[in-house]
Amino acid sequence: MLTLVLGGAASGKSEYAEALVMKLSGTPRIYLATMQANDAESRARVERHIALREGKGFLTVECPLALEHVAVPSGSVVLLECMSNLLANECFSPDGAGKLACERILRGMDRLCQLADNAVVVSNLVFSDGMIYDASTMAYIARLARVNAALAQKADRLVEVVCSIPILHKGKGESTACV
Amino acid sequence: MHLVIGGAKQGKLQWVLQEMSGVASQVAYTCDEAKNMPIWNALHEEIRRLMLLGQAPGKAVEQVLFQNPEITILCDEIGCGIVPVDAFEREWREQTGRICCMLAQRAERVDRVFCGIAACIKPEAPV
Repeated sequence: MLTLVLGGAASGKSEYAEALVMKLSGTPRIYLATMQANDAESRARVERHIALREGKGFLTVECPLALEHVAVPSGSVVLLECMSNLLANECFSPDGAGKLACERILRGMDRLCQLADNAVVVSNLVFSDGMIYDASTMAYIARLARVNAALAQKADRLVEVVCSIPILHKGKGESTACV
Repeated sequence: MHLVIGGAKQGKLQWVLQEMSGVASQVAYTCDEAKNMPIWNALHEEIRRLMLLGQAPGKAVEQVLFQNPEITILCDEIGCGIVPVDAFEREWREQTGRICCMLAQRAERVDRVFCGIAACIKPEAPV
């Protein structure tokens, strides 16, 4: 089963996704880490996430690129965080897929969903600041929207997290919202 | 405490004033005003102002909650854009997001205003 968790910056989406993974079946519990921590701020961000996961029994697997080749044991429960980083790496890294970033990621997701018993993917909402950026950033925004929408189609559950509150847009599950 | 969130200019204040039969003179815009007024508008702007003054916004919000636990707080959602290049802008979004998570967890009720229409995303516990 695939769950897509979306939220803006500092919305509580990671905390929600990690708590969800703890309730899902599958062994081992895999954390696919996508961030390439090249500076102090990124490292601090990674440290915060490591602290959040501590004691939860996650096996961390680095996956900054090439989701389609990452070793995922069959029957596992997988948390991929965050799709926006993986896509940025595929778009902008010298070793990335560039223009074929979406295709490569979606192929990787197909394989991940076949192997894992349960998969939870965290992705970002970056679509509502009304800003016009340079062409490569605009292309990135369009690609993230495309990946999010493709995953939402495929997903059994689509959850938006707003100020730590989960809002269920598709599927069944806990939701405190009465929208 | 009641938290009301939504994008910029979505009609949060108008909805709150209507719901509470409130008037503009009852609306606070700073931490100090918020300590004894029923409504606190534009929390995100006060967080930014305090950060620019080098003060800790989280602590200031805690003090308001301590003195005025029944307050209704309105805040813009500002985290749904491309991560800004400027470090201060990033930190503002981060602090605003985390403070809103804390408020939402502690609020008796949370509403989200979208195009002027409010949706309750955390209903009050049944009495």
